[in-house]
Amino acid sequence: MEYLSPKTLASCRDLVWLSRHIAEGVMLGVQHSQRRGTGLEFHQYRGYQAGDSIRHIDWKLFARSDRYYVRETEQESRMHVCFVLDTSASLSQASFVEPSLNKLHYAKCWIASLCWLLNAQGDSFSLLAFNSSRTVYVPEGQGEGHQRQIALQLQQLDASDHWPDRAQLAPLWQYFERPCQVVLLSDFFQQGNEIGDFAARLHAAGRPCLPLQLLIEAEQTFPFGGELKLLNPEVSASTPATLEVDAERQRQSYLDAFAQAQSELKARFAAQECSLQTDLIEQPVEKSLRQFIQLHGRLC
Amino acid sequence: MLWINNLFQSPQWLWLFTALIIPIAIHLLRRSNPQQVSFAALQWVQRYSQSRARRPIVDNKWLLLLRLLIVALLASLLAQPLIKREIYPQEGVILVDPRIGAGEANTFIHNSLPQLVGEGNKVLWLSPEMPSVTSPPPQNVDLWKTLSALSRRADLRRAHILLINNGVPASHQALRASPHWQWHGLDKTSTAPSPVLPSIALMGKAPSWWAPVLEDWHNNMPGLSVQTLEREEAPSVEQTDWLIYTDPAPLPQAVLEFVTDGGLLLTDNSIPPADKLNFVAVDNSQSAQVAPMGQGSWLRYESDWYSEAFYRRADLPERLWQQWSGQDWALQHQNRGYWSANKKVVADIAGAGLPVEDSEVENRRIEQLQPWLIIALLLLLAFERLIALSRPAAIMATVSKGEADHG
Repeated sequence: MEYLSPKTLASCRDLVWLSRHIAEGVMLGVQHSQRRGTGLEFHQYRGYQAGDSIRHIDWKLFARSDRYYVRETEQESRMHVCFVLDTSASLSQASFVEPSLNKLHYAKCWIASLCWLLNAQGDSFSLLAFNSSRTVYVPEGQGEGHQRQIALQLQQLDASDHWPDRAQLAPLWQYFERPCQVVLLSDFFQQGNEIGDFAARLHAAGRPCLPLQLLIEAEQTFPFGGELKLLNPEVSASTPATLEVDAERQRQSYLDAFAQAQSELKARFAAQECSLQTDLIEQPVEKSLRQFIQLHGRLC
Repeated sequence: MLWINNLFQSPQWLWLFTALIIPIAIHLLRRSNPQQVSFAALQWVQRYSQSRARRPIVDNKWLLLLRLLIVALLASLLAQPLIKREIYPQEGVILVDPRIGAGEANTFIHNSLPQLVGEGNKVLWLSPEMPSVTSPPPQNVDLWKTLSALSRRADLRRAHILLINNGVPASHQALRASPHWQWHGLDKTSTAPSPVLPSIALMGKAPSWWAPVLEDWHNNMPGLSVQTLEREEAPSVEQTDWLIYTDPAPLPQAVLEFVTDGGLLLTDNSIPPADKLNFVAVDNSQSAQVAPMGQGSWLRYESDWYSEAFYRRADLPERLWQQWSGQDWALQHQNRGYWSANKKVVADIAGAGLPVEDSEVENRRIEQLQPWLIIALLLLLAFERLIALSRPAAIMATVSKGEADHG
């Protein structure tokens, strides 16, 4: 099959259509049955009570025992997936291969596409996108209408500011009161370990957190040369706004430091029994989704 | 500023050298404004203590040097530099009188100049363009003028000159020649139309030497006319070119008018020179002097031409012809195609002619450098593009794995 190129991904403005297209690509060949009505799994027999539908009476058992028994079945509980999207300024980092595509746009397509898949399964999903200044929450729901609403909200998101501090995070915990599966999308560029702590806290509360790290290729290869002025989209106390560097001299030390940070991050999530998936936004969304579904089998 | 004019043909374009500051300025500005790149993973980029002073003043020194060279070349290409090249006299160059046939000339060279036969020797027609004798001979060459012009050529300082010897004695006093030239004469009666001869008139009693001289001239130049004029007769320029005046002083008015109208008057010292006339010696012998009068000239012998000292010499007819014809410029002009050197002329040129000394000859030739400069400019441009394009860009966009999968 042919994947969507990063250029198509970046230039397509209709997130609903785009995500549906991606999702259909991922679902191609996958047998799925939508559960309708009551469940299929047998649970127990109980005696007939007034008001029970006679359609539920097990007539074969009646023939054997001459008493009315009603078959009780159990319905599988529906999964609730909560997408948590980091919209701090560093997510505005664009790819150097396809400058019109940035991490946030990739994340939007990714979430919208997974929503289609979940919708097809009959699961419910919600969206929580936040930074230190703005929080967008779409409560739990299911169906195509809900999926469209989430796509609409996603489309309006912008990357700015920082990851919220402890006080700013406090009001967000209310959204996780109901049991849910959390899918956390971020670049995981953090000052201390604030994003990791957030995931750990959810994990401790029984809300398993499935992390997806979005990177651009240049962050893994540092393909610069000559004199450069690097601008930091997310300025903080510990990182300067700009840095003039001689790229060749810096490359090796950067690559070492970055690889070190990445392995520490992976180890931390592995300790929480949640493996971190790292994707380059230059890679097709379909591949990333398949890998994510494969990695977290319980999701779909 | 004269030396600039010697070095450049168009020195007014030298101001273009100020354009050298353009590439320097561009490189300096580029240095102060490095390319800006947004990069979120800045926290892993180390901050070296990087002071600007420690950085090179300009980046890409070689590229800057190439660009400076290109601008300098362009400016000098417009200014058109000139270089002087030494010219050495060529041995073995033979300049042949075009009236001599090519075959005849080759035969003469084979027989008389065997050392000049073979490779490396050039046999050329004696003409301003000097074509090879294998090409058809040029027509109506003014040999006198051509020789005078070629005498200044450094490469022809030691040439051999092969001239026809057609027997007509000719003047050589004002001929400019290289003292190193080697003269050769080919005895051949010219097949060309005979030269224009002057019409001579005698006024007064003929000197005793006149008859033998005239006889000698008649032998060499059949058709030479001589008339005798009475004192009362007025000579006219239309009928007479040379007037020999042997009557006593003073000169009749008619004779003076003849000279001012363009005739040549010949007298000895019996006629006193007029005060206002400026006589100049025409020969080393100091016996003949000449003065311009109106359009003509007066050639006066300081000695008495009845004396033995004047006429008792073997070369008198030849000598008189040369002295007299040398002063008749109109005749010389008409006869320029018939000029030839006889043995007397060749012998005299070394001593009495106007040799062009080595010091007068420009032995350096000015050459233009344009073709070389254009080639150098093109090469430099190609080299500059090669370096500039092969330079790694600030961001080396590589094809990602994901993109490769799309195909």
